[in-house]
Amino acid sequence: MSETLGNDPALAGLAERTPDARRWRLRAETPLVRVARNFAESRVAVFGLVLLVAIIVAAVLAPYISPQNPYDLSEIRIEAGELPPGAVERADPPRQRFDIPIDPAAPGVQQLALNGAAPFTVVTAEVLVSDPERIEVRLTGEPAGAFAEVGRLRIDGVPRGAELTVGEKHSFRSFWEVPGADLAAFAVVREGGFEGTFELEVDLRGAHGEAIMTHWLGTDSQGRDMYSAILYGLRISLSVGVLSCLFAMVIGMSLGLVAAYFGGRVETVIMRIVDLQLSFPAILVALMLLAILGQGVDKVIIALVTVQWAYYARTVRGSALVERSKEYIEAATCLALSHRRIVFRHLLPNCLPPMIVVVTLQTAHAISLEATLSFLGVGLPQTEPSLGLLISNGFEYMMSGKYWISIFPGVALLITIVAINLVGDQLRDVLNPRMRRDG
Amino acid sequence: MTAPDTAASAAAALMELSGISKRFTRRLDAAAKIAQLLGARLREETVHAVDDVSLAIAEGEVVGLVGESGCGKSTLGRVVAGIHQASAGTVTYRGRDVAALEGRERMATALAIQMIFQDPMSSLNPRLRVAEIIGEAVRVHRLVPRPDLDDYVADLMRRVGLDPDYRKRYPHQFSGGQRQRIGIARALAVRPEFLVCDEAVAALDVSIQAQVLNLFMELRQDFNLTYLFISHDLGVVEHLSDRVLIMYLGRIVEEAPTEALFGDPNHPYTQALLAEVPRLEPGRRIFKPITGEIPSPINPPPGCHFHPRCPHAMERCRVERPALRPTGPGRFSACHLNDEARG
Ligand SMILES: Nc1ncnc2c1ncn2[C@@H]1O[C@H](COP(=O)(O)OP(=O)(O)OP(=O)(O)O)[C@@H](O)[C@H]1O
Ligand code: SF4
Ligand SMILES: [Mg+2]
Repeated sequence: MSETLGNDPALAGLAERTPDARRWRLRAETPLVRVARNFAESRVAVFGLVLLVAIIVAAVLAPYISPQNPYDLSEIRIEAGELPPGAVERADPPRQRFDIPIDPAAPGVQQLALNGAAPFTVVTAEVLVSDPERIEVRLTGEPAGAFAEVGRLRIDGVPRGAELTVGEKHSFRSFWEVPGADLAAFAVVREGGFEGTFELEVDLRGAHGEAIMTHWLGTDSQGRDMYSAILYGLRISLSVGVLSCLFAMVIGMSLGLVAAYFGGRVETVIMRIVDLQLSFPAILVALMLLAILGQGVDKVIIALVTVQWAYYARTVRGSALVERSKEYIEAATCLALSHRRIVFRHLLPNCLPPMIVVVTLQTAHAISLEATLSFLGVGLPQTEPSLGLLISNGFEYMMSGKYWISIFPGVALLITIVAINLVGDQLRDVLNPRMRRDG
Repeated sequence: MTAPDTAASAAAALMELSGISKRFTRRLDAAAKIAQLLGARLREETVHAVDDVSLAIAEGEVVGLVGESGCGKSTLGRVVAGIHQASAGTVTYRGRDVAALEGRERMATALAIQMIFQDPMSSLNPRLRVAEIIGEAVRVHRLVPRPDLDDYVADLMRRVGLDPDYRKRYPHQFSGGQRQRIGIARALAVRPEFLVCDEAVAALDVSIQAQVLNLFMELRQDFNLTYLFISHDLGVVEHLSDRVLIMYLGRIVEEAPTEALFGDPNHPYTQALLAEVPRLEPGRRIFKPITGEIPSPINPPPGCHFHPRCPHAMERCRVERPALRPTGPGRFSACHLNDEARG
């Protein structure tokens, strides 16, 4: 009975003197509360926990909080590719075309209403044939300022030999390039006068498209928002890590418990397999397995379970051996309870606390292992990009200075793993005080 | 305790052990085997925890089992309670070989023999509530209809002196004495006939020990229980038992009715044990510890196990194992001195 009454000497003394029957009152704090209180003693661990919860929430809610679904092709535009962090993605600038028919033989002013589609709903051209060699054109559009700024004006259909008073002709194509500011008025001039009617084809383009969103973490080569891609990647990384850990835990714990409970040959066989499994580097085994199985979420999970179950088996066996020798197991045997009931209802729950630590730390391990496999190109398929795959995809752009495509997923992975480890380490200290690193 | 009126039954025991041995072998693992091949001196170690023990316990009897630490008392108790399989010999319960029983009978016998453990903390599953600890086996084996289970558990708790209001608590919320009562209620729940109490009060404060011992005696009356009461505390055994067995290094060395044994111990080991008991009579407080170490059960001395420490050891004691022979009415002792005296 090592857990007495905390460390208050007065209380401890009291407990020694009070009749034994009343002692429990002083011990009414439940184990869960005690664990929570001890956990909160480390600020770093609490910070880790808050971080971890935030990460998990972000991953779970990714479809609702991410500005973009990075895997919906209708939402991503290749034009927005490789934008640096903080860049604003804009839609294509607005554009309007209209033709201005001009009859040089009709002197005086002509009011022409032109193609009135968006963004100018009404465009009016005032054509003034003032002398045979010069035709003035004034363009106005309504509503005013429909183009936030005119970026470019191309005018085609200028008759051979004629010139515009503004802009310049394209070096080899037939149109004239006119700076937007000169939109309002220009003239067509031809020495020796015009021959017959002609049509000026005006192609008007805004300087900027409408802002779609700001990519705080930049975009990748496909124009995917990195922030959204990281949230989705986190989701995939976490679910692969957690799922593989759960399966590995179920398999490993069952085998470890059975080994510890039955002992003898069963134990020898199981523990030899465990030793064998643990004697190979996890990454090597996983690589070989995936080389055989091929890509896919299910295959990655199979590979991760294969390399991880043995940790659980070994850890749980250790605590199960201790628990097994306790008298409550003998009492259960004596009460003729079935082996299954004894193993899973009596032995298992008492072996769980140390397992919580292993599960936490192994999840971090599974996530980084999956990232490694994906980075090496044998893990998840491109359609389900985890953080590892994002890092890998961005890696080739590192050299050209587009660090954000690879670095930000890497930072997200790092933060996740550090947060899990902070929580796991503190849990270990709280749940297995004897394993405390600081003595 | 009315004996059934068949001819043989007067002598027929409720529980009978014949030639029971229990050996624990520590097998060599693969690494050790290789080391052995390379010349390391590793051998499989066999502990003869119980060595050829025969005894009979009648219905309603309280038999004390006494011996130094490590002599195999708990192991013998576990064999009796069916927790360990004996390596050799047979356990007979109500005239039937326990090992040969099948199905319902096997279950009934298993439940009829229950054990109370020494450590009141580790003998209760810390993750279960008291009601579940006491009621689990009852529920699983359907000894009581489901709807009555709560009342049944509450009754048991009252019977062992626990407030049924505590049924939702966990073991760590109880004191040592209360925990031991929970353990007793758990055993009683399956309506046993035979209780093996292994140092059942050793871990408790003296004042609580008395309460729990009294509870045992009350229950004996109420439930017509038979006890194998294991203890290293001679005082407790003297107070409780009808008959006492003295065990030394896996063997029973003396067996006698309590009064006879305490009044006139026959075996030199018993004599030494009794001399060790600090008597509370003023002025006569002889305290003479048994000299010498307890020999290891891995390598027990040949002949009489007690000879390295026995003040009367003779040449014969070193080679020949003394058999457990009658020395008086209901008395048995395993010592060559008895032959010498007679011959
Ligand atoms: N499961 C086991 N495996 C190996 N050896 C065992 C086992 N249980 C008991 N032993 C050995 O058998 C011997 C007898 O043990 P046992 O527990 O029966 O002694 P005991 O008389 O009950 O002692 P104590 O008074 O200390 O409880 C000891 O040497 C012990 O080391
Ligand atoms: S047999 Fe010999 S050694 Fe053993 S108790 Fe008797 S006298 Fe002592
Ligand atoms: Mg013992």
